[in-house]
Amino acid sequence: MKRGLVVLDPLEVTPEEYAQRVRGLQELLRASGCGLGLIYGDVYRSGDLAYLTNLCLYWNEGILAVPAEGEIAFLTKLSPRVHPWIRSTATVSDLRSGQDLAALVEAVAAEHPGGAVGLVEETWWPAPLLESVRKRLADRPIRDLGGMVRALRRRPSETERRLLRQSARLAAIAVAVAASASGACSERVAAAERELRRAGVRDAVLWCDPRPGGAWTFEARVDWRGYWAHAARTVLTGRIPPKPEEQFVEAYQEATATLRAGVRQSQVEETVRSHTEGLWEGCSVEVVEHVDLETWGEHRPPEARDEPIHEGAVVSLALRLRGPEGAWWVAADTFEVHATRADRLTDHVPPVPVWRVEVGSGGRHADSHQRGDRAGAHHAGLHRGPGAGL
Amino acid sequence: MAEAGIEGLLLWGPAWRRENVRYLTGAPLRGSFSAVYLPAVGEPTAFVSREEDRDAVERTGWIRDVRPLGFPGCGEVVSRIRDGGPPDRIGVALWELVPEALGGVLRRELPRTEVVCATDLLDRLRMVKSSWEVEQIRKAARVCEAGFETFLQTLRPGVAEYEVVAAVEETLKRLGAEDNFMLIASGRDEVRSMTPPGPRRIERGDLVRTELTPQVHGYWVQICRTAVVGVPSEPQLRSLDLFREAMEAGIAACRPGVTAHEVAKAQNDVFRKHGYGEYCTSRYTRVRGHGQGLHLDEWPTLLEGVEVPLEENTVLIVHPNTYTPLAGYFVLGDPVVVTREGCERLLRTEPTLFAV
Repeated sequence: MKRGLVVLDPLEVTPEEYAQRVRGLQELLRASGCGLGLIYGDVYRSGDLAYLTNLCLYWNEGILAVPAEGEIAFLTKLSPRVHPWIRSTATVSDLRSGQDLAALVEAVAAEHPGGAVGLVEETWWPAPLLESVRKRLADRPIRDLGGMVRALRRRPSETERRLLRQSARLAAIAVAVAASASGACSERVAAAERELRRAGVRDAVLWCDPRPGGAWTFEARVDWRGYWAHAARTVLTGRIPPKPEEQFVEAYQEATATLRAGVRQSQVEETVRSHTEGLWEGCSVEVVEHVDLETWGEHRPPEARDEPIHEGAVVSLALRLRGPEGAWWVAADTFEVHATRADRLTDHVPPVPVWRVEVGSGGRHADSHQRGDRAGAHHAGLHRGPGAGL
Repeated sequence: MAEAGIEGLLLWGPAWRRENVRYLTGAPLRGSFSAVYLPAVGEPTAFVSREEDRDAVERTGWIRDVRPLGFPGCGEVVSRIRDGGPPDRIGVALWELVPEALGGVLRRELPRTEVVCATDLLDRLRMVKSSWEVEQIRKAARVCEAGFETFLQTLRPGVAEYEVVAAVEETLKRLGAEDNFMLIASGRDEVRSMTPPGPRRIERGDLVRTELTPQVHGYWVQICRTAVVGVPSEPQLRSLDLFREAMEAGIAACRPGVTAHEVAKAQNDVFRKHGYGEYCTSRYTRVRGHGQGLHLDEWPTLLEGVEVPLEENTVLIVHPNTYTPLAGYFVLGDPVVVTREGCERLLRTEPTLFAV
């Protein structure tokens, strides 16, 4: 949940950059004939709001109103009592609270009477709210703007790439810390949670899936200042048949080697498919741009699901396999994509997607899968202390 | 359903409001969307957006028919509702949060089916807990107490708000919490509300308020307490007396048949008696408490005017949290379960102003 540090730091993102983002959207609104753009968000999905204002919608719902000319306003179900906090952590100062968001929309639309009213990603607005807005604005043309803000966000600025690198670094550290912890999955989640929250993440979605024999899969999605990254590794113990393990490792490494500008998710899937013959039924691969990581890519518009990855994109690549013992094997990393390669930003964990752990009298011994084990890098995850690399 | 005149119920579960889906599946889910369709006659069907969630539903064993929930078509949902012929009328719980992506599909594909909001129906159904549910809530209460202990142990001058939250999160997750809804506010009389943590470092003399709400096995339980870093001042102690009297009055009022209005009024009357009645209004506060369970802010809301009678096994947090000029925003609240004779407190943590 969004219960980590919320801060507006002008040294990280300057007020001018936020203003530029809003101006960029306003230009698009004018070009599309809209006098007002409306962006709906809730506690789970509010990346567009954070991009434009650093706003952390920590509960409930809200709408950012962006006029083609003039000042933005935030329409919220949150109480006016938290307005001072919102003003101190976001770049929006016109705040309007009420339980009827459509009524708030009607009022703000009346202040910007020219042109159409554009709804960003209308398809994800709550249907009853949309109906109510349409009724209240019956005399105004209403236009679906699709992923207009998402399109702006897909090409991160240098400032944003810095934040994404930090987010990826923290996601990887979460996996490394979980690996270093001992005990049950709850202990691993607790250790990772503490490191991440102390480092100042805004949100952390951690998943530890235990399996018989003390092995587990650990997955971290991390929100650093509104920028999401993803990392995951699977640790095996005992007698796992070598076939799925080798195929999984090969498939993941080939998939990551495929990543570069211009590649589509379907091409990565094809690569994985060729290495997971017989396993494909329980195997899936996801390539998700950073703008969609907040929601696992599940809110992506259908037409965006197989778009070519563009140069400069930051993406997560995740491979999932339902293993022979019924538990999930997951490997995931976050990459910065270039013309001819992709740089792994989650390099605080070794590149090997599967780690083997043998429990002996002297404690655990880690032995990652042979392929891709570079210079014993796997030991970084399993033998350094929890603070390693922090 | 028969009373409501509906032939089927679609329980919608966006990622931040999965309470109804959890109620019928028992499964902890991860995906952005989930749903359950329960016909008036027949077996329920669950819909999940991720394969891991399919496993989670199948593991609990309550629902055997699990299907993918895929946009933009939502074909499986439509197909299931149509089974045996399109119904004349269905209810949708959390209809107010159903995205147009699904709402539009229902309109197009089921043009003769009337869709009505069934959020209240589920809210009222979930209001009265089973014995098993109360037992889960008791377990969550132990986790809640431990989290608050960590909160107190972490408070000291110089520690930042977000570092306090980090320590609490660690404790809660170690004890098996799935999530935690936590708000915090540090400072003096100027504090008017609680929010997520900031970088502010705690100073000697600060009041630090928290609302800490772990979710364990799906069930949320909340504690509201205020601590002072250093020696409490006279106004801070008077604030404690006021809030404790109000909370105790609210808890004393909780019994079957008493309305949410009466529990709220019992608390507000204490403020009025001491001349602080204006601080019970929406300008300064939200509610005097609310139900708890699979959602952290359940029915009924404890507000004057809410004429919902409590029933045995209703679980409530009673919290007269508000701002007063005595010591700024102050929080004190305990969860209770309504029993046949009255109510039982679920926390052992002393209802006091903790000095650390």
